[in-house]
Amino acid sequence: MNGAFRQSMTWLHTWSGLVLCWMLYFIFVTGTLGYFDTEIDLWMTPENPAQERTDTLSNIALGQAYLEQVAPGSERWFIYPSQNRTRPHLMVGWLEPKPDGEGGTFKSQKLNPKTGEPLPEARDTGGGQLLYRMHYLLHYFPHRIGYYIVSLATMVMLIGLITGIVAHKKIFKEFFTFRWARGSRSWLDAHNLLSVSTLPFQLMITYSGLIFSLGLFWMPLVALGGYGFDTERLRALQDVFGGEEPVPAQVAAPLMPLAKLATEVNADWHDSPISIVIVDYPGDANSQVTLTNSGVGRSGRKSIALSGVTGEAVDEEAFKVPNASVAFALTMVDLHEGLFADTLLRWLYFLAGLMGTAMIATGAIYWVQSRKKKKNTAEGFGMRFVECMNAATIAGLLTAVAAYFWANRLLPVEMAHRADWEANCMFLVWGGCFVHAALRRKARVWCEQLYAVAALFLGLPLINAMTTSSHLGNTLPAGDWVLAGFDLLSLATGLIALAVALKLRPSKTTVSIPEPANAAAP
Amino acid sequence: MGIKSNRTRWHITWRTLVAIFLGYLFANSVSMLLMFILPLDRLHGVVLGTLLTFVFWTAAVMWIFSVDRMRAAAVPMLICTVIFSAAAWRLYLMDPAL
Repeated sequence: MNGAFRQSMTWLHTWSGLVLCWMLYFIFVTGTLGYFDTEIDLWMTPENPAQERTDTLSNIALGQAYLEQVAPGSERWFIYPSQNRTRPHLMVGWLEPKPDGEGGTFKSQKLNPKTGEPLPEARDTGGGQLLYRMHYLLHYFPHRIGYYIVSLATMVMLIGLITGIVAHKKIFKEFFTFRWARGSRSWLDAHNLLSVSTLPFQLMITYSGLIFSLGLFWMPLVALGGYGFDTERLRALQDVFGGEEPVPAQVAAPLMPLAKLATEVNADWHDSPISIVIVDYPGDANSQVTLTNSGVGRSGRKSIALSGVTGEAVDEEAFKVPNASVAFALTMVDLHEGLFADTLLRWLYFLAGLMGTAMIATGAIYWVQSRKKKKNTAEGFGMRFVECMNAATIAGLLTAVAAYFWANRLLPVEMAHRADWEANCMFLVWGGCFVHAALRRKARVWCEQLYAVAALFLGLPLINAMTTSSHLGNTLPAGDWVLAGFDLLSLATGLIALAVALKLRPSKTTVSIPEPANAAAP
Repeated sequence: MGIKSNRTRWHITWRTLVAIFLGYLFANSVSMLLMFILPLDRLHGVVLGTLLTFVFWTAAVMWIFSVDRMRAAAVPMLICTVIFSAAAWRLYLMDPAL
């Protein structure tokens, strides 16, 4: 690798990174929070606290009993037994037939995993799920458009990662280099340290983000060519990632008790119990029950389809992972979602996500710092724009997320379109951060933005205590670490933001640390 | 250095567009050819090819940005794309399953 190549790759790294860093920051913040989506859901619906976990098979029986009453004519049922993390409640879903007979609308209901009673209706909230969905659909966009924009940003992220790697002469040595309080140098060192130490995670999360459902919606040419431009077969290819659907016989036949049907399978999968039950055409002679666990990859993830009438396995071959490439794709997607991760691993995911977020933030800040150093002439519009965007995104988005949580507590419970307004509050506050960054004196912007982050996050446990009974005074003695953890993490975020804001407070006698004369340009 | 700072913004815009669109076609043509010539069953070939397209696309973008004059990368890439596509089209027509 010669110097010219490395230089051009540095250029590409810098500019591809700069153009989309704010969107990537948004994707990383919301995606990282998504690793705790269920926990955030619980915090945002204080009416429905987590229930003690109950036996998978009795969950399935309770789910079936509910669905038989509520959705007898549906063409598909879903039962999600309660599990330690992903599901604190038993949840059932069904396709409600549309009046025109085409397909159905997905409906769902949370049930008490002990009694099977529907849980009381909680406040209307987007919950952690909405934050999680923002990281691949954005918000206010039609889903498809949001998905395309995020995919393109992910592609740029991949290019940024690869060029970042090849741009480094001594990646290993730089990993052990950190020069504290040396202006732009320190930002570069922090950026390198964060990137290199989490590089496998960043590569995995970016590449796997591209290949959800194989990325076929925007990379369909190979599949189309391979299947003679037959879009039907393209759809069949996507079924590799879902499983095949039966055809109804239109003859009524009673559905077996699902718990009985699942007993043997569940015992076989003792280390990773059934996490999803799907029933196609319940009550039909061709009804099919698909059981899936929450394992990862080729060895862990298991799926089996049984006849809903006789309980015999149907076409086991269809559920075997057909080849190494499919296994690789499934494993990558499982790793991305991390649904299998227990508490410790989940925190690691969260930490790696935070470090990725910080990697993007330090990169964006370094761009400004390094240019400040180079030219002391009057700043152009571009520089001002980037500085504004940096403060309003890096700090402002955090304020906006906090505002989303505040809205959850403060908006009246009976408000119409309440969940939408929670998100509107988030984006209104974020918009306010941009206005503030654009209008305020430059030296004060970062400091004040961080004060806002600190104020909102430090206030969150307080507002929680004033509006609910699930506050730290109750959750800590009860050992409810999910809800207490949320409040404690808010406090920690607020304190860190406050500490940084105090450090950045513009003083009247600003002492600038001189850069060493021999510092080589990166 | 690949891109000099005094180059106009049109140069950079043009190069970016070439990197995105020609790179996309190039990556797909390589993958499609691989899908037809590798001794794998069709499903395997299709999935492997699609998975690799993202890697080839990244490489193509880097190639376009690594040269001093864009032509030095864009012309060979265009020629490769045409040849690979033609070969893939030929194999597609010969394929008994299609």
